[in-house]
Amino acid sequence: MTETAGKTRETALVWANSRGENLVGVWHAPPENGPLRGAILSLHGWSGFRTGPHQMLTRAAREFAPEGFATLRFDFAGRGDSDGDADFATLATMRDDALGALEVAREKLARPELPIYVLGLCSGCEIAVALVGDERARGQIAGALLWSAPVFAALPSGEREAKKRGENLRKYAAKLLQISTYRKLLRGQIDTQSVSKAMKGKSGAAFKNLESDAAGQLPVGFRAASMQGWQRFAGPVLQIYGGADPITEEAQGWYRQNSGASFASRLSSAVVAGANHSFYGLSWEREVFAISRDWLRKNHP
Amino acid sequence: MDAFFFPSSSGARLFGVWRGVSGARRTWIFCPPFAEEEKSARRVFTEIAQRFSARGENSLIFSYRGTGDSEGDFADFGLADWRADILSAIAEAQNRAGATEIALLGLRLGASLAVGARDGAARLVLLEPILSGRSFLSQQNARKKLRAQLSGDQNLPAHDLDGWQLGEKLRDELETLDLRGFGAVSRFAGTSHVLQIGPKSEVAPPLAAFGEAIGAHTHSVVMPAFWNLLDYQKPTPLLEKLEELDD
Repeated sequence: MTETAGKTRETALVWANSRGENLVGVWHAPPENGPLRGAILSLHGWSGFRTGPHQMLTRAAREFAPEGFATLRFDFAGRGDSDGDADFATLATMRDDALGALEVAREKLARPELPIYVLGLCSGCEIAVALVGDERARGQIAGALLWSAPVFAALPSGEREAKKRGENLRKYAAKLLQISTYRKLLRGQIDTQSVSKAMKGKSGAAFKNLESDAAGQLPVGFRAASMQGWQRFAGPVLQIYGGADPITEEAQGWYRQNSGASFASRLSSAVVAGANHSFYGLSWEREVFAISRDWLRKNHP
Repeated sequence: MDAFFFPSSSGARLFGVWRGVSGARRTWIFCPPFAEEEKSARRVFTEIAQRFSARGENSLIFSYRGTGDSEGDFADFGLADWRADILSAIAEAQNRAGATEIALLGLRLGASLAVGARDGAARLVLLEPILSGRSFLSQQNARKKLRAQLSGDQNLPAHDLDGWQLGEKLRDELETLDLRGFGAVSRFAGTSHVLQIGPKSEVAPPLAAFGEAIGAHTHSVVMPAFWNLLDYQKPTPLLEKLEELDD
């Protein structure tokens, strides 16, 4: 590991994962003269890296530090600055990377009696579910903050794809007809690929979620084992969604149905009015931070 | 590989990732694009840096003040600050590498900034440089509007660019950034390449004129504009082009 201590107590780290690939991370320690209440392991989304969209995960760590919570943010193998091949990353390899990062966080925190929370953003929530669902980690994690959690390890099934495609087409077709900047879209100045993928019902990791034991796909039984473990998790869960995010309703329902009998009593849920999937707006971001801070305070007054 | 913080001109620390190679002949400093584009481009930068390592060249990927993992609030900084950050990164790379050729590789706004921080560099590779700050701001606003219209979310205030607070300093500097036209840039004494990245194989006239003005070779790389993509795609055409440019 390398380290550069500074006035803000943020430290750069490099460590090897279980496959020998170097992962890059940053440890945020609370101010020296403030309280130390625990740590947060921050998990970025499928195609991003440790800073998150609009630097949200960096800013979150800086928000939580004065509350007494250290944070470890890192890049999964094949993402951001870390080693590894992007094509071979799956929820399973990312879960393994998160297991190693949990050890790093425990070591940096150096206070075994203090809690460690896991924070996921977008697909990072799927890694959080898989991590909590793994018996090696479950007892070490005090609670989960899930920001825009999608359905866990969703399959690209024909039925699911058709449903998603139908929903997206309805929403987008209506709006595209009103768009004054449509010509800019056609000129290639906008991220057309994400829109196109959404229209096709193919987004993010879905095709990596087939279980086959082939490199780049999930090990057979991964989904069921993770869900069984997730249902055994007894800690508090905070879910925050965007009010304008197309996944919100379906994902909330899915977690209610698939998270075990005690989930409702452990769940705190919030919807940020008007916000999109990754909270691409300063006021939405602030609201997510405030809700999360209040939840952490409630759990660790 | 080493990850670390190093000082900027103001003392605020910059985050960097260094890939050092024993006996390297050249050291690359990667100049990242603006804000959200950095997120989409980061993995591509890493893959380029890995290629450079494999051919025996050092690299430093860093983030400007107020971006990535570096210290500071985005709204407090502007283009002059970030040009100074490139110079800090060059100094850090020279400390680590000793006497090697310094090369700058910039993408989008990072490429435009590299043009203003090229003293001391022997080589420039500019990927899709932003030639007009005003057009760039318009594009960012169009992207914001489109996102709002597609997802049905609210329109955000003018200073909020997809979760990045546009400070007055940056806005004013972008309004005046213009690398087009006679006398806008001077010739570069070293080796330079300007790469257009997108669906077209013919280099657009403004970019070709810019390349001519700085004395660069201009090229087109036909592949998606990866800094705008949500999902990662292997940048194979770009990697192959960069191999071609090695001499």
